[in-house]
Amino acid sequence: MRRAVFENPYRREADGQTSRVTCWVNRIQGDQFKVFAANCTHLGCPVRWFAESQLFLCPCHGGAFYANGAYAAGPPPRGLYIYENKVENGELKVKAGVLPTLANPV
Amino acid sequence: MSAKEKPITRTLVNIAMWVERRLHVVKVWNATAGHPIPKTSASWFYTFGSMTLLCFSIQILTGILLSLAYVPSAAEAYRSLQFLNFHVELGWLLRGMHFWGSNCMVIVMFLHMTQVFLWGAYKYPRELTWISGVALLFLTLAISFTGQVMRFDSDAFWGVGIGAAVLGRIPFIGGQLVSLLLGGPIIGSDTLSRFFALHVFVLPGCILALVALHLRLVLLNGINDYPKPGIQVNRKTYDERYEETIRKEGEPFFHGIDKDLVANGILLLVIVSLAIFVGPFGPGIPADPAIRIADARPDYPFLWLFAAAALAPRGSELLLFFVFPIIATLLLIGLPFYSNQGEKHFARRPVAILVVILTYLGIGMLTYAGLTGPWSPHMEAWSGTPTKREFIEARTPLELQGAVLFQNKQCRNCHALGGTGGRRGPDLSDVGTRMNQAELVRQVIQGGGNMPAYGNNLSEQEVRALVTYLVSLRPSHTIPAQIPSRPERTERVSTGEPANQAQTGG
Repeated sequence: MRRAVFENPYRREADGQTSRVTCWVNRIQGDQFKVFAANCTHLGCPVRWFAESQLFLCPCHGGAFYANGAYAAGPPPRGLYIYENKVENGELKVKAGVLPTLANPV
Repeated sequence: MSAKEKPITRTLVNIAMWVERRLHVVKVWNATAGHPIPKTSASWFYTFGSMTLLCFSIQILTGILLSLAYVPSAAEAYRSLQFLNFHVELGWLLRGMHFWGSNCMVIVMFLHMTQVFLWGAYKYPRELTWISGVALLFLTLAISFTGQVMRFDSDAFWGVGIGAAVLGRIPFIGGQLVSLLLGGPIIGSDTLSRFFALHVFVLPGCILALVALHLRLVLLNGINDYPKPGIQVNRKTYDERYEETIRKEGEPFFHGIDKDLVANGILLLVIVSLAIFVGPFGPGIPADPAIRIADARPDYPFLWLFAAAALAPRGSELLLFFVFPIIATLLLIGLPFYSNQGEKHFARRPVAILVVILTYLGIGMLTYAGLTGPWSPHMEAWSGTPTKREFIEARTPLELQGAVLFQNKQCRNCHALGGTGGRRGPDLSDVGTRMNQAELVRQVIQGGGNMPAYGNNLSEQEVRALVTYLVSLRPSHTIPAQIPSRPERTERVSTGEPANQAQTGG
């Protein structure tokens, strides 16, 4: 599991650092990846990956997710949001840009 | 006018009279500062209203001064606040007064509302005064929240994220509401711009207009005469009785404001002292979504709601964020209608006292919980919290292996040993008295009761070591948990996903 940061494609000059988006990338095998949004599905706080316990944990209200993004514990209503992705010319491309919420889960 | 007066004095008097004939200053003054109020209403308990107004005045003054240096752009806001903190002469004091003035405004307004409620001042004929006050409460909370966003640090950034996530839960129109809130696809400069417009133009304008209405209503319907137990409010007789009180023992408003002046002086001292000795709040970590260690804790007025979101049963968010506020608003607005007449004095209204006690206890306890956040895992406990000797001493090699696993698999982040560690799950210092070997194996492998499953993360050997250690955790004078110690625990909230669905990834 690796943390990746990308510039939001809708970026404007005035956005400053806020256009940087964090996501969690899990290589399943070869060119197959699973890319998770960092936003917790409970109330949107940024989840962190803990390799030792193999869990994503949310600092706000203690939501927990498994390595495959599935719900593990706490108040979240569902598993992590998953971005579509594809590999082109050795680069991982992620279909993202909109803040994921329950109304608009990417 | 005597002939001895100098021409310059005469000219000044003439100018003053010219203005007075057109502006009617004296008339307005007599109708406001000079309007008669019941003598009894010059009370310490009646000072919270003017104190709220003082806070708002401080907010306007410091707000205008802050806006001279603040740049409402996502790229610049944070730096302009640091510029205010460290480079502008007394900029830190301005920021401190604006922050503490805001918190004081919410608190004093709440006290004002409590007093009006307990003293029955919302009853006939002051229903609209109460309703405009309720609107002012919501506007004040809104301006407080938008003000937190102005800081545009990590807290503010993720605070907006929480706002978006809350709106995203509304059925049907959630998506549109999120876009309306953010002003774009992400939390960025457009988001800050619209919060800025709300915070400095829309909301202050609304508050000023409503304060004017609120005060006008106070002048029209008179200040509440100090209630006495046993005296009932009756729509038919109240006005007559009030006018009689004014005739008999009325005095001009400005004669009775010595207590207001003292109370406001003290409040001003408190705000300035907080600004000087505690200082301005933040900005904290910059609003950079790429920084992993972010903690989105809202400002004081919203901590109770933040805590409620963590403690409410899973799936009750819609209830908490929409149904509950709507019911609470209707109850508040409806108060002067379903309690329009009768006893005013709190000594004869036990339910009113109970409501106040429960509200203060509820908000107080939730705020405390919001400050301590016991539901969040203690992210550094596994590596940073020492283990007391009694939890390691005289244990077998297998148990010691389990103790190491307990740390390395980060069990400690949620489970305390001897009171130190996370408080998300139960303290395991004496878990051996509560759960036996078989039960612990099941709990570790399958999870449940709000604990993730570790079945795919631990080998059979590791589970054996861990559980052997856990079973040994009990005071020497106690007996180990028996079989079956209690019925199988199956309270795990169903999600449609089996509890042991964990996968090892990496």
